[in-house]
Amino acid sequence: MFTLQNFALLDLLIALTVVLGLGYAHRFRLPRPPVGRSTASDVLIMSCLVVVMPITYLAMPAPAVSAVFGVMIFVSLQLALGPLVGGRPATAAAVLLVAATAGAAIAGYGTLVLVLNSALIMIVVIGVTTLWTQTGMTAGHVAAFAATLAVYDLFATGLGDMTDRFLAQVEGYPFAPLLAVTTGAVPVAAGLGDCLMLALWPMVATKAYGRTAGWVGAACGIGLIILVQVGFATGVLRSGMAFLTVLGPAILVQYLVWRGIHGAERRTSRWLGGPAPVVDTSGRVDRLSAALRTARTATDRPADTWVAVDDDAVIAQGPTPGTALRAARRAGYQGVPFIRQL
Amino acid sequence: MLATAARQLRYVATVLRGGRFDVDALRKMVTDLRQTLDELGEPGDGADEMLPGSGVDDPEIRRAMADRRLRQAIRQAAEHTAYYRLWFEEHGVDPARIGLDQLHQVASTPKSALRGAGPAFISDRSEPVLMAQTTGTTGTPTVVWFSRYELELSAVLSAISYLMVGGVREHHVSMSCVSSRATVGLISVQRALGLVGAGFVAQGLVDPGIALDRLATPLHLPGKAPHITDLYTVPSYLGALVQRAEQDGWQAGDFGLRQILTGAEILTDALRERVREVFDVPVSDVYGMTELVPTTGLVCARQHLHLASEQAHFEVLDRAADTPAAVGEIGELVATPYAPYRDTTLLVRYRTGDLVRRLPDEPYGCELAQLPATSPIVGRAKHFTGGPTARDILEVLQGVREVPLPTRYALSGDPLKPDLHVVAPEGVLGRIEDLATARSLQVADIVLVDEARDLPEPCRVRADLYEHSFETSRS
Repeated sequence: MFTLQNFALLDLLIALTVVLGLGYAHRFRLPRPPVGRSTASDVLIMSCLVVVMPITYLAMPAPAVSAVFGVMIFVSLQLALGPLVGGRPATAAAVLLVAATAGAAIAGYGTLVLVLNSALIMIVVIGVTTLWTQTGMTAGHVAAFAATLAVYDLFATGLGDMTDRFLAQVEGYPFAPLLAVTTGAVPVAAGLGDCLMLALWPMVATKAYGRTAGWVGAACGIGLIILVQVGFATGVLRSGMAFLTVLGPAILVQYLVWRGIHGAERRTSRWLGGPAPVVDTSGRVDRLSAALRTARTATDRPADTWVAVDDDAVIAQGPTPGTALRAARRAGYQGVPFIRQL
Repeated sequence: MLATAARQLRYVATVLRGGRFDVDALRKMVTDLRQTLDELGEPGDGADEMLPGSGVDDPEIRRAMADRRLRQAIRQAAEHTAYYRLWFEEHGVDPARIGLDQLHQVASTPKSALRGAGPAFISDRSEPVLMAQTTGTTGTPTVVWFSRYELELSAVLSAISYLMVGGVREHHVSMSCVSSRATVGLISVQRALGLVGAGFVAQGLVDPGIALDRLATPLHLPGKAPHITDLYTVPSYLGALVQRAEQDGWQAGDFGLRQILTGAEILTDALRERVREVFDVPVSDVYGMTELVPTTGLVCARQHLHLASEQAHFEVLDRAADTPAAVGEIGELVATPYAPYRDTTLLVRYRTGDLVRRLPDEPYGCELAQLPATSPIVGRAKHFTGGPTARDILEVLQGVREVPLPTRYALSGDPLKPDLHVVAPEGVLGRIEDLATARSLQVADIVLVDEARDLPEPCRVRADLYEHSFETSRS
């Protein structure tokens, strides 16, 4: 039922997922493969799967689809809970949660299934988005993925009926890929894809461009959800609106703005508190130019002498480059002088 | 990440199967590794399992893999090389029946056989492209031919090892002070560092003053460290560098070194300590020889020489017979490089000429415990007479600061308790004798001489492969 309370509850759950995700990703480290980071090809493969999988699901019996999602949710739960409680307890908790959801569905406790399913979806979203972010998914990748999903959602949900048919297929089954606060044929809910993008962008934006970008991303996402709900409430929009057709361009625009402001994205290792790059040779040409100018002033030295030059002073000299450096060190200079022969 | 995972699975499958590697795929793995390190700082969990010799803990599985690789290596050698085809025919041994448990039926291959009949060891199915000559001090070089596959595989495996174990990154710059004729090693290092994106300077064995000057000179290169960071050399030349640095007043702060890697000669604890005082960096002792490329070994913190058992089968045999040396005894290191790593010069039970002590079969308790180990190299079979080992002697002599580096000595008289002749200044005899007594060095007498030419027989070290340069050292 489309009530203000239901919309508010859904907004609250989405906001909670986004905020918890930001905190989780900052505090816990998910296991990752020894070698490999998220790349453009991963985004391409995921985009292809997003297009292909729903078609496959529609061709499968509903219980089989439910089982497939049950397995995916189980694996994701294990992944997300591992850093919180440890490997074996995480497996036990995942088994318990999945079994409880399945059991409640079999026993016909619809409300319990709704609550458990929403909890599972929230944990899965936090785990998966954290994994993507911590394996180096860039803001550019997310923007490209969001743009692709926007086009897909336009056709699958906005212009076509694939999403509606899929929702009808999984209705009443556990592990439906929905963060729902009501049951029924037209629930107050957000799809798993919507939730993933709503949580992913603030996380990756925080990593790439800082906390402000993350909070702006979160606010934009939740604001758009509220706007859409207002559309539903006022009858401007029909139910089953293709939300990613709105969120995708919003993420793309944010990405372009932040890239314009900050330029290069921050490396994942820096976001996770790793050390700054050991070597910084930025401004090298300017510094060498200044040193070359300074070296010209050393006209009182014999020809062929090697001089060690700082930006604005000749520090030491020697018969070879190395000895000039050594003389500079003995003179108390600890930097890296430019050394040239006169 | 998904494509990377597929490549890793393929690599692991090849290692387990013992098949020929796809070098292009391995090269892409190096790129994957670089991208991972660039974005994420460090490899993920389980990265060490990608290294040769790692990832399989079960001794039975390890043994089964070794058996399969050994059978493959012996079959190829017997089918495609003249030397081994003839040996198996003449001795009536069926190569197809030779595995780990039957290996003792095959005679070891002396170094002299390879040195005297190199082409007989080259597979007729190979495409030799590079002839490498050993640069040892025995007088006659041993010739080993390599294919492009072998060279590229060696480079790419080295690159993976540099990134995962050596901590080499794009901003590092390495300098090689080894003989310029150590072709295969230089090519492999240069290609490997190129794959890593690190810098490389092939300095050669020039006047140590020139090398020190090069190490101290700031580079000012984009994206690179201010100074040369890694030094590859041989211990005798490292000794010469230490000696020269001490003489000319160089200090650690004049350089930007982070590590030194040595090999091909004995690195003593005494020299390691003097290197630490001058350069203030750790020294790694790496084992390798032209005949066994790309197989290597590494001396761990507990002074075990760990050998890459995934790339070759190693044995420690009695110096005079093809029987295993007893635990704790000195024996000769014997190697059979496995087929996936070698397709040109094929060797079975090759006597390396390097002497080691066989360690007891018990847990090594070190960071490389999963790899088989021996003691570090204690000397060369050719020079060992049953008395003190070269390592024992060098530990004593290099522990006395006044004995010039590189250390030069010779033995004469009773092989079991010889006279030790040392190039050293007058006045240090007492200190050498004290240290020799403290370390129970079994020598009859210690005789000091002024010059190397005064020794009863020549003492050649790799630092003698001196390369002339028009560059002058004026430090």
